[in-house]
Amino acid sequence: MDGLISKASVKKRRGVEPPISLVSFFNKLSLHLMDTYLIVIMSVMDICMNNYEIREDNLINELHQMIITMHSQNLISQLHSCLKETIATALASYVKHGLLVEKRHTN
Amino acid sequence: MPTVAFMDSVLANSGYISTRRSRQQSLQQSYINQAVLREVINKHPMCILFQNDVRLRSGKLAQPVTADMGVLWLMQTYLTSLQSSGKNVHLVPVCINYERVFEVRNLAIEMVSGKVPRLSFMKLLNMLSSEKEGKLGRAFVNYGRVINLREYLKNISIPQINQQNIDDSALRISEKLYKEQQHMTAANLSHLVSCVLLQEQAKSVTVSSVLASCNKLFKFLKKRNVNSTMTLAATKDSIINIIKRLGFKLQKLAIQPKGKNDEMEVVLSAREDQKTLLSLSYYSNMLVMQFIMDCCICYILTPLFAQGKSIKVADLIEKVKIVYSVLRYEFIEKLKQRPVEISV
Repeated sequence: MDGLISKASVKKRRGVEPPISLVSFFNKLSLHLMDTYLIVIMSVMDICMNNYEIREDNLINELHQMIITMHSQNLISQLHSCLKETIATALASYVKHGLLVEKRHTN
Repeated sequence: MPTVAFMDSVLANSGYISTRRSRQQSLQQSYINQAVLREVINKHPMCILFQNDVRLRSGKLAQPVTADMGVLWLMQTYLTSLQSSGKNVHLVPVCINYERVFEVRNLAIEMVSGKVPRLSFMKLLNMLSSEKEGKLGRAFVNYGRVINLREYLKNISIPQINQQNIDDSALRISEKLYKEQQHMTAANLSHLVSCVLLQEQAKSVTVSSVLASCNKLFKFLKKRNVNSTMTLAATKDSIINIIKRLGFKLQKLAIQPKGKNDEMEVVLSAREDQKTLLSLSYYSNMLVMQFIMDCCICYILTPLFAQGKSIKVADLIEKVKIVYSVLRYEFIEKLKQRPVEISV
């Protein structure tokens, strides 16, 4: 297949690429949020199934590092899925929706 | 901006009081800050408060769940010394936006680590002088609608502030100010170019393609009446300038299209650098908050288009509602459109 060149790549090489499609553009624009929310809910499901109790800041840090690793392995398309702020908001959102329970411990 | 010790000392001498607005401060610190603000407001009718104590790391505003500390202190001042004497407070929201972050490297580190780096004044000057002319971009100052505190509180059914409702009213005012800030945050060409480059999967893309995509988005922005600093469609030169400023290299196309001999392409190898990727995403996130509903609709439609399936409008609305309800804490609801905007 190496010798074959697709029509799209020939067009591209000739500098006549079409502009982006708006549907595809807006889908990709928020894809990092969807990825983060999906990863967070998957990890939360796992935690719930195993009855773990995990500190929120530890969970956020671990998820952050894991998403960076996933991006380097091309499992996630956008690196900014790893933002700690988004992970924290995703967790807070699931708490608001009643999927998670937040406990506060004092020393 | 990162913390610069020298700038802090200069500002302190000019009447700027740097108070730590972090919620991790002690009760004593919070009380002292509140007392200082009360004294300042009592003696000087005009006072400037900064709503955001650190810059946004994700590039967008999220729904506040607790009141900003500055607003909380203001409300405490209003409760303890202004409300009882019949005095009122008028809030004038001022929003300063900029086209590009000049110390993008620091921003990228900050986005990943969550820590604000400390810079020496000399290093800051050095970084500024190393920027080429125009690379810093423009800054925009926008003034929002004046908020009459007493009237606003009446409108949200809080006629009198007391210890029971002070946290809630401070949160409502913080939210209102965030909405104002979002409304005044305008989209510009840097955002569009960043989004297009970030989404490009190939190793290079032609300038004509970036231009066509940006102009398509520009038309959409205008149709949707989105607050934007762009008044005219982009030109090839403006696109080339922005691409260079974002740190990408340009080269002539090896095979020129028919009738042309100056077609350029953007080499996207710089995108492999995590810091460049993160800086592009910072600008890209600014657009997400303007188009969250469009993003939700397209997220549902894309797999259906790929499979050649159709969906009833009623079902689509239901699905969009679900996706939006999950993501709603990422964004602030929009203010209603206003006819006139002042920018300097």
